[in-house]
Amino acid sequence: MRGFFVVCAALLLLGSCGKAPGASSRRVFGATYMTMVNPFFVALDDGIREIVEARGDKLVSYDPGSDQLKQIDQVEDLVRMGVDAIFLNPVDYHLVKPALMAARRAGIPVINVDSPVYDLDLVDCLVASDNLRAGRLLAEDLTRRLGRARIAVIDHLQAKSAMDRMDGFRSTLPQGGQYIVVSRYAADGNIEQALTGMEIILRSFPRIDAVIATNDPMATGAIAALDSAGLVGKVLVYGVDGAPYAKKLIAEGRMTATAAQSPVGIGRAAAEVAYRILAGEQVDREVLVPVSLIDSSNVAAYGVEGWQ
Amino acid sequence: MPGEPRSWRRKALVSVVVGVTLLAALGFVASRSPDPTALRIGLFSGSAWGVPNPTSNRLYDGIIADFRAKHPEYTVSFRSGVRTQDYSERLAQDILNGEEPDLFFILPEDFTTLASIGALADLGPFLDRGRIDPGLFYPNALAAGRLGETQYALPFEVVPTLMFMNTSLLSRLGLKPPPPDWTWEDFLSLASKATVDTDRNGALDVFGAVGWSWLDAAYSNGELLFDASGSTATIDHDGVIDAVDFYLRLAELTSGTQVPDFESGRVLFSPFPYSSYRAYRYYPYSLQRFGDFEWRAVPPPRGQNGKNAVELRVLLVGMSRRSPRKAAAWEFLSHLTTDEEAAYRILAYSQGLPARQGLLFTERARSILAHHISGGEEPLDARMLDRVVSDSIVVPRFRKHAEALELASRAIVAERPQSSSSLRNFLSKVDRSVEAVLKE
Repeated sequence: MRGFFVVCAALLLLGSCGKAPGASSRRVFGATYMTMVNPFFVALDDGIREIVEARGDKLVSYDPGSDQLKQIDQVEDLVRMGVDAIFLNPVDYHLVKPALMAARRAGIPVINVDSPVYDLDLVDCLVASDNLRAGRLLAEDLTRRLGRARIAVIDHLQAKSAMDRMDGFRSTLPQGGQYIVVSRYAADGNIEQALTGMEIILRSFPRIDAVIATNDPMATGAIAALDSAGLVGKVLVYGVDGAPYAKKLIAEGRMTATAAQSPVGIGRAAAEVAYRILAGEQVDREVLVPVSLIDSSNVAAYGVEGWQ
Repeated sequence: MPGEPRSWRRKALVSVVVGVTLLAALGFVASRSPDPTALRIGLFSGSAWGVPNPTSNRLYDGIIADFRAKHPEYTVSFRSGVRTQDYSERLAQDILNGEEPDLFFILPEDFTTLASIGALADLGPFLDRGRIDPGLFYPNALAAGRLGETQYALPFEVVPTLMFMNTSLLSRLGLKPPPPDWTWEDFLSLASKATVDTDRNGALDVFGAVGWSWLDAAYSNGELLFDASGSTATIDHDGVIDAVDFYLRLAELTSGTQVPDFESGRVLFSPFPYSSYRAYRYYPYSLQRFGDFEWRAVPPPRGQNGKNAVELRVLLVGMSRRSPRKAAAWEFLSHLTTDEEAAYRILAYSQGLPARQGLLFTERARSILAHHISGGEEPLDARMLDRVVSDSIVVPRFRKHAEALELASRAIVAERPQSSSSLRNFLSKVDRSVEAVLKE
């Protein structure tokens, strides 16, 4: 018993006054996102947390570090904890299925955030940006700036959101051979892999006109490689997210544009959906949050501090 | 006999019940008795140092895979994905529930608490068996895992403090960079020349320094502020008085003005942890933080009695006192902290430096640290880095350290006495009030 009190003192000293998840009457939510190295997911988590904590409830968030097996473990851990609902952004939109099945077996609602899973019938709601529109915005801007272009694509093949953005981009580009995708590299949404990928592309295609990355971390990785090769400012670089650092790069003239999302808005909307599901209300299967283009002409209005 | 079958059946039933009960009991015991080879460890996802680390899975998964290759008799499991900011709370909850891992990483601010409450095993008996040479570690890093005379944890990774210098601003102002063994007076002279109203509008627009605290001054003058046991404060020592005097002279340069962050490009010097250098001096993160000016890292300036170094932050690994798998835990702890390949993985996939000394001078380390460094720079000089780590201060470990330090800091930053004689009296007063807290 003495030892127990000593450990309680440890909890107090370590700044933890919370009860074990699931042990109290307040609701406990779980969340797991592709990788918390991407500040987009930190902002999305903040949006959910804001709503959850305002109601006196608790959010337990996990970071799989882009490892699908770890994410499945994390969902199983959340199921064992008996959380009330799970917010999930998949590492791999196909391979996440065992995690969805585990939540379904336990009767725990899943709110799919940002990037859709393949098995949408296993989630209760998808809350995401209008990703097709994000891709269209990039294509429209590129065609306004250049009459023809050799394009390198830095892509993410495990994320349906990224694939939708590319679909939107490709379907909007004029057909006829003026715009050619000369190379494509799958960088898993990761800034470091995008750096390596862009270096590889530049070795084979030293003369390109534009880079399309399906998120801002990958656009930044591409700019790092272009910077190293002395090509910053000579190649158009597009991303998706509207991250503060991307807006700074746009303001400095090192990045062309980003299709801006609102991760905080997605997070808040997802949390509201979760409470409605738990209250027994019917919710739409899909909630789409609008996107907008930020370039040098309007970046000052958006500001480079924080997300929109 | 009509009664015999019933009796037989009853006996059989009793036997079955007893047998099942015994089997269940045995099964229960078996399920409760710990598998001595199934090791559980506690770790977090991302960086211990508050910088982005997309490769932390490669660091820890790689080290575990190496260990399993050498010791296939063990399994290693952990709860994945706990963010660094949630880690202390989750560990505390596990301890409360009696479910803490056999071995766990310890963030610098948690060590004293965990050691004081008896959550950590004494590693002395394991070290005494001689399988680990304590001389492998930087001595100050090893000391960070000691409370009193007891070694409770071993160091995994260290982060010294460096001084970042805006070389674009230095050139613009026509100033020369300081030598590596620069002093406070060199620092004050450069900071003074860089605190200027360049556009002559009546307000300062570039600044000599931001973020240099009185603690940086004290540590770079060789002052620890407390004795090792935490029973006595030494805030009234001559070396601390000199340090606070220097801190106040530096602060006086920008008195009444809000100094912007180093990232603004308008400040010449600011102390930063090595982890920030490792994250933001290298592609791709070099693009995300400091923007459009040139900068580099130099050792911190030293006081008259000190060295060119300030505080060392240490990521430790300790063993649960209640672990039923101490032999396995010790094998893995040895591997984590002393294996050469693990140390190179830290260099490649983390933003700290290995606590194992000597590797910085190898060609392999140079090659790792030269990869993706931005602006075509050379990596930091290994001798300089090694010296800064060796000379850095590990603050005394005792329970009330944070509280005592906060009390002293609040008084010094708020009151800022003007004359040297009043400073001595003032610090004596601060020393007495801090000691009163230590004795409570």
